Amino acid sequence: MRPGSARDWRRFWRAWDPLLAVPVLLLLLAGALTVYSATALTEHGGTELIVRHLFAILLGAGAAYLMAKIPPRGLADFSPLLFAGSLLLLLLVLLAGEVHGGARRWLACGPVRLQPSEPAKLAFLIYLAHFLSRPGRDLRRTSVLVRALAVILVPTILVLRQPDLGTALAFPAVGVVMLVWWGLPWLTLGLLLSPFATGILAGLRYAADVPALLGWLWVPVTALGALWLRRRGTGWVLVGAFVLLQLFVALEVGRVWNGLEPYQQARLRTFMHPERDPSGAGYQVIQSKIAIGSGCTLGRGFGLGSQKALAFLPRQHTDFIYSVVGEEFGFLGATLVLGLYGALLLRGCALARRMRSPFASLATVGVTTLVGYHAAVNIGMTLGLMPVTGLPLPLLSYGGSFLVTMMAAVGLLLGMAARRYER
Amino acid sequence: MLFGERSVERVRRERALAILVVALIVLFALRLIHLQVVSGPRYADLARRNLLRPDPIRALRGCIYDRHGTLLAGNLVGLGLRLEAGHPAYAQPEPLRAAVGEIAAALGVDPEPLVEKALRSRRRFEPVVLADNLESHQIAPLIERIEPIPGLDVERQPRRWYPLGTLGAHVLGHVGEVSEEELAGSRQPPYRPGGRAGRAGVEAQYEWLLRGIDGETYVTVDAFGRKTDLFPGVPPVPALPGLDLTLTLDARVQAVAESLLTQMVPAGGGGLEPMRGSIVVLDPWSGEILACASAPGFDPNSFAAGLSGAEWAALQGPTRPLLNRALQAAYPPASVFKIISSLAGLESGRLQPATTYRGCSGSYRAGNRSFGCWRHEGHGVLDLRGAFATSCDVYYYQLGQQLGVARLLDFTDRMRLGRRTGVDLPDERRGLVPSMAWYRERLGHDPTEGYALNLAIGQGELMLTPLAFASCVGGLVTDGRVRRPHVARSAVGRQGRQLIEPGEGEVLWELPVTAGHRRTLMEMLEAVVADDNGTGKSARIEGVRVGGKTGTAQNPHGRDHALFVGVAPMESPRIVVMVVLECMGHGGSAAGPLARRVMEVCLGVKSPPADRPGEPAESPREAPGEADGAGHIARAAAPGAGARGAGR
Repeated sequence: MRPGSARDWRRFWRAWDPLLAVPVLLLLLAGALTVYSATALTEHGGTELIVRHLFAILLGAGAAYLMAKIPPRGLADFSPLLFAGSLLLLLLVLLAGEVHGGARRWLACGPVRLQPSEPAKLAFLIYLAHFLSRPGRDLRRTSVLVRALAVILVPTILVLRQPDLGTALAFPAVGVVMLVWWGLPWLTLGLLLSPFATGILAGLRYAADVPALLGWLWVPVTALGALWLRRRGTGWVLVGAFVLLQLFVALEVGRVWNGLEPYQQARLRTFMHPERDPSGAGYQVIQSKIAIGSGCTLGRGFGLGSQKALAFLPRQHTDFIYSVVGEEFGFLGATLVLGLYGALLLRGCALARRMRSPFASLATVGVTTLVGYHAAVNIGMTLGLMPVTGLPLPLLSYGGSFLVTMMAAVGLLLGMAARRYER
Repeated sequence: MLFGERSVERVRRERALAILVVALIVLFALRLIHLQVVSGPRYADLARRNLLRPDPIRALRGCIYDRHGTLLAGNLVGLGLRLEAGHPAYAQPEPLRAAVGEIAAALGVDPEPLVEKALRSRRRFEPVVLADNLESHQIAPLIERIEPIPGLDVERQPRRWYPLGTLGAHVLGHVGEVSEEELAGSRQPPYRPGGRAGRAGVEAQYEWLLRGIDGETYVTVDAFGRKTDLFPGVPPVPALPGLDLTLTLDARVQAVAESLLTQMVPAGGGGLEPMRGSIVVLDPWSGEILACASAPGFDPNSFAAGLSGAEWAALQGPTRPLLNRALQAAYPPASVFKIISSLAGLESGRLQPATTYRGCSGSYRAGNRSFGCWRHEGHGVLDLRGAFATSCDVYYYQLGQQLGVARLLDFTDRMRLGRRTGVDLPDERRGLVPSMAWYRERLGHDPTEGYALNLAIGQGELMLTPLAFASCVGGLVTDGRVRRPHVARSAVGRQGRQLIEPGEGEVLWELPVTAGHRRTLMEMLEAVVADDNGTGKSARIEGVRVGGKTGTAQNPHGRDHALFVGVAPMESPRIVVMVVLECMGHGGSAAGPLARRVMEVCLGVKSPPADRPGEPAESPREAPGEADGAGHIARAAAPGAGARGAGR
């Protein structure tokens, strides 16, 4: 490419969709700066982690470039193999993975530790996009719906067994949004989500300090849902099945709660009452809120966060990196990062609408949701709005597998954006 | 494909997703405004004070009382030194090492273990307790040094206190700082660093009851790791004190028993040494342990104050003061075992109270071996009662010969003497009642007749704990049922529910002895004390029918062990006393008087001072109990709650 040539610039412009690429680059920049601040600029911090982070970005850039160059069609054809391979790796983790902190998540091959659940997310969404984009995959047909749900459930269950609740929920989150994009009727969506709503409502029983009556809220809600179904003219049998399903879920919630690991129970409880578990998960949330809050409007300045410097923030360069952003760059910096994520996600949605190829459109929605899910869960956690799940922040957090996966996903997005007029 | 790239539905669904994205961002932005703009200054203030730390409020341990409400274990306030090992000043180990070294020097203790402990805590970002239960005069020289040491704090915390010192130390046990294993353990609620846990005796056995649940406050800590303020945002969780426990022990009987054991006796190699032995007093109808003394003793308060190396070494020394000899040591029962051999004979039908054997001439020949009687002059011809009262060995040799090893062992086993009684105290030892198989394994062949002879007089391989034997005798002198010996009498839960109830006592097992034979045994026991040639004359009490049996156990390592088991009053036994004195010679002369003194106190009998030859000086502690006419063990109601607050 000859620099200065207007046509070349235009071609370049089109090949690397700037509305998407610029937020991504800015987020990577913010991430590198914050990781640097959170590791090197602390008492006794070293530069080892930031070097590894930069190396991961480089690796991610390579992965992104590759993903952008692969024609989507080829990727789609290849996807069943990818998906099967990642399921196999997930199984292998369960059988022979390394245990850290009570969870079996890593596979060691030589000096490299791989977390197969990260690439599995990407392989999953590509395969689901491929599956749905085949001719005749009408989600109003029960058989198609059931098969699609199976594709979602298998990796979910495998990751749940590690156990890693936060990552496991990424599969249904991404999957359901892709189904919705592919024309899942709103009514079906409501029916699919109703057990979860009932579960959460019935689970209020186990939340501390909630009036006992609230634990029965699912009863009137179910009744209203059944009435609404009747008014839409749904048959009595289906309405009955709907009510029975809610009843079953409400009764099952207790068993599931008792089956949760104690740390998971603690996290769910402390999400609502951080003071209940002061030294564990609640402590992290309190410290995170102090860090973010103390940033005030303009922040304490790059490298000057005191909570961060004294290592009171737990996992500040990985899961709680947004707290460091909040502390050092204040409300302005934190909203800027939010805005960058917003731009990225909205651009993703807009691109998905314009894609000619059904596969590309679905994959775009999937990648966008993947980024959005992680960002929302992570930021919600640091702000004390969501339970502590241990999910990193895409493009910002330190962490090899995840960063590379996310950059590869963005590369895929950019590649498809460049070919959005292809069928 | 359901709908094309230009379809209305696609636009609609894109809009729905976009709305979701925008809604989330608005939600997060609102939260950011709330945290950073509205509450920002408050959080900035908190951050400026640098950190927030959960601070435990130590719970008080439950108090322990004797059966009459005398406080045996309570709590005082002690001062502790706590170092914030996770403090940023100690990011490198060297400064921490230096700080701990300086504190150790000021306290005058060995720095190495403290440094180790501090380094472990540093890795976990936890405070480390360097010293606790200090008195204010110990802290004073440290105060000026504390300021420059980052993260060092003086904290007040409850300190375990045993107001009567050594009294009941073996039963009460002591407390110690929770160990790393306990911190990592799964006990609910979890222990916290620097907390206390029961280490032996009742303190360990009833840890679940006595331990309180620590509360917690949030404190803000300044740059030096010292508490500055309570964190206003979180209400403190109050500590829940542990529950009180009333024991079956009678402090007055216990004090007498311990004072009787606290004497200096001639040592084997010349000179004097502290007496070693134990005294157990049981209520045979309930299994309640009224006194359980073991010598040498120790002061559990010394654990609370922290032991120096020399003190610790002394406690681990060859006399083993920490051992509760009443249940953690086993002895050959010697002649007190004749109770069991007599019953074995009676129950087998081969022995009648009137049975006589060849007269005792001081020794007995069986095969080509000669077995001596303790009385070299011999006893002459005796019936069972006479042989039992004079403890004639030759009579029992012939009984043993008649019964044989197998029958004797089988009966002893059915009396369950070699088993643990399941007393509610930790680390009870099991006695040893050999079986035929055991002998065969040891000897390579069946035990010969000589073993039967030795067994019949309680020598040989038999080893019994004093508590197990006393429990068995308790069953024999009551209704043939052995009650589980126990020291916990009552405890009331937080909701007022009775967690431990004083009661009839759990029946462990029924002894295989008929009521008629038990009556015969009672007469024999009384004869030991009452008959003029009885070996237990020294246990006689004016106006009380006392029964007993003496024992003198051969000790390959030194002087004989003296044993005595006493029962009183014989018309309806209320107490069983078991005295075992190591290396003190004759059961009748050495152990008998001690048993008598204990029985006198239990029964409230005042004996004339002239009638106490060779008795040790009493400690002043037992004096108030003397004039009390009524028996102490009349089943008094549990002491009223109002009178019990003193220990706190």
